[in-house]
Amino acid sequence: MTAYTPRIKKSHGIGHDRVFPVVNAVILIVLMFTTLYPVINTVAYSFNEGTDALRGDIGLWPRVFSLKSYQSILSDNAVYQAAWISASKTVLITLMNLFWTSMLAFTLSRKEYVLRKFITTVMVLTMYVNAGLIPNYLLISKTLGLSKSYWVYIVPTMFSCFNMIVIRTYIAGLPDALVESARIDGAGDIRVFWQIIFPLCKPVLATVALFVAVGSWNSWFDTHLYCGGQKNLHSLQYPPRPAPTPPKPRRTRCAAPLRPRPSPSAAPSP
Amino acid sequence: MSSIAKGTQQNIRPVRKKGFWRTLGGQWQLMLMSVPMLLYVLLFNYGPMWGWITAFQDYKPKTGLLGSKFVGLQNFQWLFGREDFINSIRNTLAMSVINLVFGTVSSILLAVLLNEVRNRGFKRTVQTVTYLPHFLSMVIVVGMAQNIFASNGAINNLLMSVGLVKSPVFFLGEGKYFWWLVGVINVWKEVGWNTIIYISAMTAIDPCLYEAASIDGAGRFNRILHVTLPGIKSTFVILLIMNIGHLMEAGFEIQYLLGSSVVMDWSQTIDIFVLKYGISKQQYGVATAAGMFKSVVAIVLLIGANYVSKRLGEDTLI
Repeated sequence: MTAYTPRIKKSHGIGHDRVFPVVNAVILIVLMFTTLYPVINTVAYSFNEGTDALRGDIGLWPRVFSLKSYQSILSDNAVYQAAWISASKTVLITLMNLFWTSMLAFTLSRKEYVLRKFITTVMVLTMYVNAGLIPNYLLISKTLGLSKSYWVYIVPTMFSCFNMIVIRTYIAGLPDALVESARIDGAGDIRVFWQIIFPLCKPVLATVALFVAVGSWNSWFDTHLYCGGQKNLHSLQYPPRPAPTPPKPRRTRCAAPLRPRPSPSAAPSP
Repeated sequence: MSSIAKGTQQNIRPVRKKGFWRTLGGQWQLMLMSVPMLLYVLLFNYGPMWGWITAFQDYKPKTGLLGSKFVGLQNFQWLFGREDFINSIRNTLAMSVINLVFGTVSSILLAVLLNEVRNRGFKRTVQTVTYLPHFLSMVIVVGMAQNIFASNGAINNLLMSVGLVKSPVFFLGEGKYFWWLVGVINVWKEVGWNTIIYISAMTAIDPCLYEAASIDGAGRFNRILHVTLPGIKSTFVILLIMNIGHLMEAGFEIQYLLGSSVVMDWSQTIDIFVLKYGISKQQYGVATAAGMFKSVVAIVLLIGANYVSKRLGEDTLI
């Protein structure tokens, strides 16, 4: 691309307009550096020899190059198990979300559907009203008995109202004639959705899949809360937590004296 | 053939006004597609609200929701008598206000700067690079922050070489830095992502306005002030209302991962309080009361912000 050209040249503004793009570019380059520095710094640490890394002061390049950290990680079978858990739950959650959310979005985009208003209100309220951690925990682990099982990752996270609204907005932008002509040709609503609307939603589904997959891949708190004791169910994000304290079932009275909680990150940073 | 004919008859939109149940019966396929998710949401999002009863009980897992003794507002009284709960409220509000101010100002600033870039390739590069941290897990980000802000980390090295400080600052070990650290890390992680919505609002501004402003003699700064910023005002207001509704949620992961027992007075948010008392100490009643307090305040804040915005003649969310 060519350099900056002001749209309208003015006698008094030209000097000012030449300086600004340079200043702007410098600011943005500094910002990019600030964004990338911690990432590159971490990569440099990972390739540095362990005891030497404890001295700190490593910049953008390892001081004593070593592949030991990677060797020890990759020779640990728990990592492969965790990777499998992370990958499989991410794929399953994404597929589930896309299917259920887009199906609901389709029905809620149909103006003639009599339950549309009711269901939409019920869904949108979930974005603002949240029962909180403890009632959710009691429902999932006590009532449904999902804790310490793989399904605790999948079942509670199959739906997101925000994503539903994103897909519904996209479907509303598609021409109504598509649905109408399919209906005249005799297709039922399920068929209209599956054969016409769903394939047309690919772009928005890709966006939603990205949101869901990133969220699922990065989540660690569900592991911490429900599967802390189950080593074979740990996800990849879980082990790097310094000194995790999994919840211990312990009977205490309501006004029992407080015990200091072991700090989750008391371990010294490298 | 006959099945198609039947399907057509069944599914054609009624011309005459039919009864509610007749219409509903004709829409059984739509119901089949939506009712499972309705039931799902009722179970997983509304079902736990029964658990709010726990807040008024001396809840025991053994006796359950129905068998536990009701104690009235005792749990709430206990909560508000505790200094660490009051501290959690203060920390939550402080950190979310810092996040809100830092986050909004930085993303509008970056969006304005990006909007002034004429080189398409450079603009895209900056955008891609600044989105990157959004996709990193908080676990990783906190690990990086612990490296960068360590006493021999990059920030301290920079400050010492410039001569601003004589000895290393213990960013991670002193409570007074914690809120600002969380603010800075959140800006670093989300600024690129948050700009997306402002940049898309800016592309909707009519270019004629810029030209008209130029002809009237407005320089670059005045064009930003009088065209760009008013152009994103409605987006800003909507986002502000939504964020005020979430003011009681200062984030949970970052404080939990970054905090330590040394800075706990400054790092403990309401969510961490709930986790500590509810899950680790199994005091379900107290923890539910704390969570319920949070939800109720959030709803009041949302409705309040919406009302103020309506009175000021701005856009509203609800």
